Amino acid sequence: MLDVNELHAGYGDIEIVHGISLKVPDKQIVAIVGANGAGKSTFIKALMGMIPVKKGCIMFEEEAITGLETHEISDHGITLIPEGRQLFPNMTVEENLDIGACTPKTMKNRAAKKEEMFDLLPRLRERAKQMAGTLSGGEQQMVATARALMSSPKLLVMDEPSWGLAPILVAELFQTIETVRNEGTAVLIVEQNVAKTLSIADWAYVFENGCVTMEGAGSELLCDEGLKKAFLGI
Amino acid sequence: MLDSVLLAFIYGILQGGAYGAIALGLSVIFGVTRVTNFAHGAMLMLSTFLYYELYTRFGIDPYLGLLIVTPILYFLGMATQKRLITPLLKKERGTTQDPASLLLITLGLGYAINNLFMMIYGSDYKTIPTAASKSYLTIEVGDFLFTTQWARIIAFFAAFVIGITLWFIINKTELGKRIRAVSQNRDAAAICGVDVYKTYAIAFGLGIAAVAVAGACLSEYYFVQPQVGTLFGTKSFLIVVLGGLGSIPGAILGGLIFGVVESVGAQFITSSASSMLTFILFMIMLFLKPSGLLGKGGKV
Repeated sequence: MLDVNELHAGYGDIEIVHGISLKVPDKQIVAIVGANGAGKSTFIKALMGMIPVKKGCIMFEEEAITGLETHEISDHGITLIPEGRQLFPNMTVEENLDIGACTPKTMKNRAAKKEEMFDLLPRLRERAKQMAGTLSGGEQQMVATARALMSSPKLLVMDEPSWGLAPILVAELFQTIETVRNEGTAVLIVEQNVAKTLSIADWAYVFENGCVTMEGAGSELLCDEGLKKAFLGI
Repeated sequence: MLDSVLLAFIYGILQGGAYGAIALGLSVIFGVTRVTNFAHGAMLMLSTFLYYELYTRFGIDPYLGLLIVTPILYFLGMATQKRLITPLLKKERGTTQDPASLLLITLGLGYAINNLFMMIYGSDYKTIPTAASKSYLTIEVGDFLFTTQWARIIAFFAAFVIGITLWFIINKTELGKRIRAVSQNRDAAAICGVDVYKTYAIAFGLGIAAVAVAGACLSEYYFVQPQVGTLFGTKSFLIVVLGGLGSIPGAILGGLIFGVVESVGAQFITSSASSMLTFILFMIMLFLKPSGLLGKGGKV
């Protein structure tokens, strides 16, 4: 579904991602793990068209989407839950969800989709008229997730979704991610919580200094001695 | 003495309304695009010359002419964003901060427009002798006599009409939802499928359309001259910072305070020194509350 080939990207003259290739097949959870500064977030930003791609090619469903504007990439059916959630703080929860489906294509299903989200995350129905900026961290994560799902994306990209969440909420979050996958949406997830992420990932990539140094099935990497030492501290 | 201060207060409120009307567009543009439009005054001036031409050539009153001039300035605003500012934003994308060149480009545009009009029309002061500029409202209560042109009263109320219209568009429409989303978090809006640059262009267009309406009201009683824009442009910046960048009620409130300080201040010191008072007020505001009286951190 998503096929990234030899992607180079960075800020200004500084290149941070040096030729990363990565695939996300249909209906799978693919994870990216790596230390701080490994280029994970830069890779995601380049994928979403938020920073320019210097070299390389991004194919989505057999179409090149390299160099498109972020909103055009979103139109293709890729959406992102950004690091730190990035809600619209002075807009209500409901308005946040509305913006999740604001293109001519997605707006038709807005009302139905909103009901679906309120059923999936009932807390949001209670909070519908409240400003998003006033919610707790866990509730904000729910809004971010629901906002992303409003457009019925084919691929959901998540950048550090467990950031700032209490452990019990992290468990819930990983459950939601599996639900999303089981309902047919592919997921590309970047996470600090390596053990938990690898255990639900169908496939995983390890980033180091802007390159892929290892890849494999999530459960396999979980058993890898080198990886354990580097990230799990076991 | 008391009477003259009261009169100055009323005149100040009226003039303040006109200031607010002019500042509204600037505030909205900054609130959405983060661009300080230094060409705002020049665009106000440009609109007054369009009204002047419509009046002298076709006898069209500016109040009617705004039906023609407002759409023209809307598209001029859109074009400014699309052709000048967006290309710069795109070029600088991927670097960590907003480029200083953005400030310079609107400043340069403002100078270019000012000098172009200076070249075409010279520096003569022109007026548009409309009905509203020649009919006066007079209120007499005992010794107290208040008299002013109807055009000034209309300009005062125009601030509220423009303000409410902009507020309605931003807070009650689907377009407004996208405008607020872009203002509050442009990356997140883009991820959700909002065309950020198009939304910027629309917001810029709305801001300049608002200044065109203010220009119609102003040209009914004020001079039409190439330097007029600079005067009102500078005041607009102070007003917008005073009221709160991006805040619609803030722009009007800032305008009213500004008008009153200027006018009442002139009762005690000379009028040129009273504009100094407004600058002092502005600096005090920067120290005490940089976000302005009604500001929400520069967001609409």
